Parts: sequence; structure tokens; C-alpha cells
Amino acid sequence: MSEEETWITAAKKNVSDFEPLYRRYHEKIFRFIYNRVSDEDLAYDTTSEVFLKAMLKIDKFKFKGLPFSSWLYRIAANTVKDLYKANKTRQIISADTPGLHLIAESISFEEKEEKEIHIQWLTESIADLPEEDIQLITMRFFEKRPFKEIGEILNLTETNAKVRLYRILDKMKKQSKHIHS
Amino acid sequence: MKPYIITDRSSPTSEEIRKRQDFSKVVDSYQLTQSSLTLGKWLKWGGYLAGTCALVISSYFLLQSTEENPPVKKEISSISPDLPGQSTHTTQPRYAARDIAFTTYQIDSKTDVTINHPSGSTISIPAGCLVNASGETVSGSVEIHYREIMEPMGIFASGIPMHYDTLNETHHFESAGMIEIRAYQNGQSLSIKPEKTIHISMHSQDQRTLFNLYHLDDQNTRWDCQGKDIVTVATQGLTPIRDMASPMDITENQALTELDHQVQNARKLLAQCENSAPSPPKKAVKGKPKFNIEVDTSQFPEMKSYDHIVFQVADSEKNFDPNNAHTTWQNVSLERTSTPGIYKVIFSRPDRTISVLSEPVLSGIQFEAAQSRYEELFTEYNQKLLHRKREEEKAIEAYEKALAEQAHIIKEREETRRLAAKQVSQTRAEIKRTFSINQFGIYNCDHPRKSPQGCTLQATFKDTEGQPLQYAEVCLVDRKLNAVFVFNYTNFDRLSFDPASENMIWAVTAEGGLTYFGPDAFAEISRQNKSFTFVMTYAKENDLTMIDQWLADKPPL
Repeated sequence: MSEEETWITAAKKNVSDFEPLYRRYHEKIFRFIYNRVSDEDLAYDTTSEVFLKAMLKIDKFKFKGLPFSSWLYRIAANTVKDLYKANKTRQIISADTPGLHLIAESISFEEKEEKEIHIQWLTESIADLPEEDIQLITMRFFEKRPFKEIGEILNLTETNAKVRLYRILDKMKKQSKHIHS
Repeated sequence: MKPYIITDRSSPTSEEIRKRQDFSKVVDSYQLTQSSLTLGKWLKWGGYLAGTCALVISSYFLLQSTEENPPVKKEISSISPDLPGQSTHTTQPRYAARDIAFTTYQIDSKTDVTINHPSGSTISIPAGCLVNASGETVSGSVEIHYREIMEPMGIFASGIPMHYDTLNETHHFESAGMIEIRAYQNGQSLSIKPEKTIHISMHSQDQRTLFNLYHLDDQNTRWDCQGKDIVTVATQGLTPIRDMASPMDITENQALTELDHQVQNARKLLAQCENSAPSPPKKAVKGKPKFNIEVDTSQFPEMKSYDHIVFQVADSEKNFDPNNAHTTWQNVSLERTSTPGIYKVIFSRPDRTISVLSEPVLSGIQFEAAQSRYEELFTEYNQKLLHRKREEEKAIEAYEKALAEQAHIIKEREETRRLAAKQVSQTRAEIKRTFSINQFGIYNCDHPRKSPQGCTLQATFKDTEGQPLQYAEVCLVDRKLNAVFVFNYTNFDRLSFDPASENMIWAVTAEGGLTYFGPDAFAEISRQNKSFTFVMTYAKENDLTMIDQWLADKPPL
């Protein structure tokens, strides 16, 4: 049994034994949430909320192949969605320049000058995407997550996650040609 | 409200985040939630904790509907039909139709067990080494699920990640064999006791030691190096290939060299013979200037056979001065010219030297006698020539026969070695790669490789109807390697392959069907191409058989 499985098993019996899991994943969950909400304090509060939910539902977690981390991220993603619905925060997309450049290259803006000109268009274009597409783009290009993990968090198969992302980029590419022609 | 993009946003440091950790507060909230649920009514609290709890309580009910043990969408490989349940913890297969099924073994966990897998691999499980989720040693019957993935189709179909990306490059794993092993009791997964190990002796077709042993982590995202496996090769009555006569040994063939010398000698003698052809006698022409000189027949053997030769001024001599005949010359010499039968006679004295193009002639009775003599000589010459030609032919025939025999021996030795190598590769128990494990999962004997080199293309794909095909990824298979090179949509513009190898591309459509681009079509791609549209064929049963045959026919390592 792995170390983490031991912790989870112990936490199921006694919630105080959840602490090692809390310590291990606190920063990761915080950053996941912080990338999506406008306020730092709200991000800390929401992080605590996510762990509370996890502790309340730990007995339902089964070792069936979904990693514990992905299970936590799912709780975090749904919690953040609830914040948006409740208007507790504006939806934030935390992008980084290398990630934007990578997207630009994927839709064929390869030259440096092209990338710079079209970055603004790109950021607006991403913001216009449906929410789940934004999550795909954010997780892949800005958070550098592997497709398997993205699929687990969004409850997609790994292949579907890849195909969806590919279709998003393809659509953006067509839009870019149309706008800049 | 439209989302708001913030680029390169600053975020708290790890230290700052760590300082804000407060597990005790979360526990308090938990206990509060539990007690409020027990009371069956909502509680209101002021301040931060109240806000958190209220949100928690409302979210608790939301969690009931949205977080109920989130379903795991996983394709499960088929297992042997004699046992219920399915193996979990497997990766999602890329192509389910060819994903290698698990074999399930029932064992008694209280005794030492050695499982003999049909491939020749063995799994040695010590007694009492298996524990349940609570860390307790299990007893009674347990199920061991085991499968081996040894070749490219299995690797491809499994979907097990065999590549990893560094900053600028993708590396792919070439495999000497991969296994997946799990243990269960009553549907619950088991682990190996920390101080125990399970010993695996995996059959392989590759005895090279350049591979390391890797274990795939639980998230199926990272391969952890476990060190080196141990390779053993048992010949068991088979002649080791290294002990067989090598085709190259035959190059030092003395007999062949001697025969070659004989051919050269025969040719030399033939040339000499041809050069000694007798010259037909010429009749003197009345009225043409002639002179009599003594000929050294050892230097001019062609004149040896004729007596009383005189030299007549040749028609090609345009500068003959008859007055020279009245001159007393001190020296006379004779030289051949490039024209057969025409000689240069050189007359000299201290103050002058002249040369006259001349031809040896005979007159009268001498000519007739010389004519008879010539006929005899020519007959003799012809016989000699024929003899020399026959000797040369015999020598060449003997040499070519020996050469053909040698070529046959080389071919036989090459075939013997090929068959021996194939026999070794097909004999299951021959090569074993052994290692010990202390956790279940996927283990691979891997060697990282860069993407194939030689030709890089911007790739697009369409089907045989001309309809474009959209893939998330395609896999290149180089027949000489036990590796599957994955290219995804972000690097289709840099699809590379080794044009000196035999290659195929396999890809699974969104509907789960297999499409392929075959080796013959691959061979026709020009190295000068910068872009290429791959026309992919939907694979039917015959095509799968063809692919299997293509993989099986690969040259041995």
C-alpha cells in the first residue's frame, strides 16, 4: 500500500488523520482556486472549504483508479463553479505569456511579431469560450497539466480531453484566419 | 459576466501559503458541521467561521448530488472469463480491440507460490506478503492479475504512456518488455507488505543490457526508475549464434585464391600466344627498292621461320631517296612500327641518319617455300591458340564454380543464423529479465529514445475518400524498434521518421476504429518532402493480420 493510501485509510477512520493529506495538497488546491478567483482571501477560504468537503466525503472515496489529487481538484472545480454562480467572484483566467505564445503557435502564429500582435486577440478569444473550454485551455497551457489529469478532473476520458482541446484550437485558428485576413 | 484574463499575475509564495494553513480550523468546521447535521437544523455564526460553515452546509447538500463518488470513466481491459469482476487500476486503452487481456491466477496467500505464465515468465510470491487497505496481512485465496505487453501493437493498444516531454524534446521509450500486475481479494485491491518483495522473471525477446527498469506511478504520469533488471540467456540445447560459422569467415578461401591465380595465368599465356601469331610472307614487288639486312631473330621471332628475307621499301614511305642506296652506312638497326608488318630500318653514319619504312618480303622460290612454311606455322599457331583458349575457359569455369559454391555457403550460413535467431526469439524460455517489486502496478524495461531522425514533415491526414481526418494523436511504428512514437496535434508539423526503416502510422479515430498508413506507401515518400498528406485506411480484419505479420517479420536484434 502506498503512503497516501495509508493516510486515506486512516482518515476514513479518524478525520484528524486527514492532516497529512491536507498538508500535502493545500498549496496545490489553493493555487488551483487562486488562478480562478479574483481575491486572495477568498481563495484561502475556498481552499478550506474544499478540504472540509473532502473530509466530509472521505468515506465515499474508493481506490478505483481516480487519484486522490484529481478527486480533490474535482471538488475544488465544482466549488469554484458554485462561487461563480453565487456571484461571489468574477471568473478569472490566470494566463501566462509562455502559455499564450504556445497557444498562438498551435494556431499557427509562429513569427514573433505575429504572436505579439495577436496576443490581445487571443486573450479576448479565450475569454469568449464556454466555461469548460476555458478550463481545458487553462489546465493545459497555463497550468501544464497532463491530459490524463485534465480528463480526471473534468470527468472526461483522456482521449476526449485531447480531441476537445484540439477542436478548440482548430476553431480558434479558423476564427483567427477570418478576422485577420 | 465575461471572464477576466490576467496575464502573468503574481501569486503568493509557497512560504506565504504555508503560513496560512490552518488544519485545526478545518477540523473545527468539520465537527461543527457534523454536530449541526446531527441536530438537523442550520446554525448561524458570525464572522469568517460563520460564512465558511454556511457555505459548507449548503455545499454539503450540493456535494450529495454532484460529488457522489465521482464516476471514473475507464475502459477496463478484458480479463480471463473464469472470474467475476474486472481489473481496475488499468490505464485507458487507446485501442480496446487489441488491448492485452489480464490473466487471473487464484493463489493461496499463506503459502509461497510460483506462477508460471504461458509466456515462460514466472512470478514468485512469498507467503504472507499481501496486505489489505488497512495494512493487515490477508489470508486465504487472492487473485493475481497479470499481463505482459511485449510488442508495438500491444503498447499502442494499451494507451500506457511511453513518452515524456522535456523542455524542447519528446523522448520515447523503447521497451524490452512490460508487465502489469495487481492483486485483489473480494474485489479489494491489495498491496505488498513494505518489507517483502515479489520476484518476477519476465520472458523477453531482447537481451541487451541498455534497458532500465521503470515503474509507472499511480497517476500514470511518471515513470520512476527502479534501476537495472538482470538479464539471463539460456541456450538449452540451441547452438548459440555466436558459435556458428560466420558468413564472413569464408572470405579467406585459399582454394578460391589459387583458382583466381590460375585464371590470370591462363589469360597471360593466351595473350602471349595471340601476340606470337605468324606473319604471312609477302612477295617482293619487282622494281621496288630493296635491301638486305641481317635480322636478329631472337628480337624478331616472327621472321625466324623464313629464310632469305629482304626488306622492301613500303608504300607508306614517301621520302625514300634512291641515292641513299649508294651511301656507305656504318650502322643499321630495325624497329617495329605501329603497323603490323611494317618496320623502320634505320641507317646511320657519323654525319647522317635516315630511316626507311620497309616490309620484309621474299621473292621467287623463297616466297613459295615461305608460303608453305607459313601455312604450317599458322596451323601450329591455331592449335596453340585453341589450346590456350581452352585452358583459359577451364580456369574461368573452375573459378566461377568455386565462387558459386562459396556464395551458396555464405547464403546457407546467413539463413542458418537467421533461423537460429528466429528460433531464439520464438523460444519462450530463452531470455529472462528478472527484477523484484515492492508495489503493484506497471513495470517496463525501457530505454529512452529521441524521435526518429531522417525525414521531418508537416503532416495532415485524410481518409481514402479524401475526407480530412482529425486526430488528437498518431503513432509511428518503426519496425526495427520495439517502440511506439507518439505525435500529437501540437507537433503534427514535425512528424519525423527514419526513411531507412520500414514504418507505419497507426491512429484511433474518435469512434474507436483503427486507421493506418502502410509501409509500402511510406517507402514512397520522398525525403525532399516538407509536407505530406497521409491517406489513412480504416483497418479491417485482414489488415490487422497484415499488420501482425509485418511486425512478426522484423529482423532479429
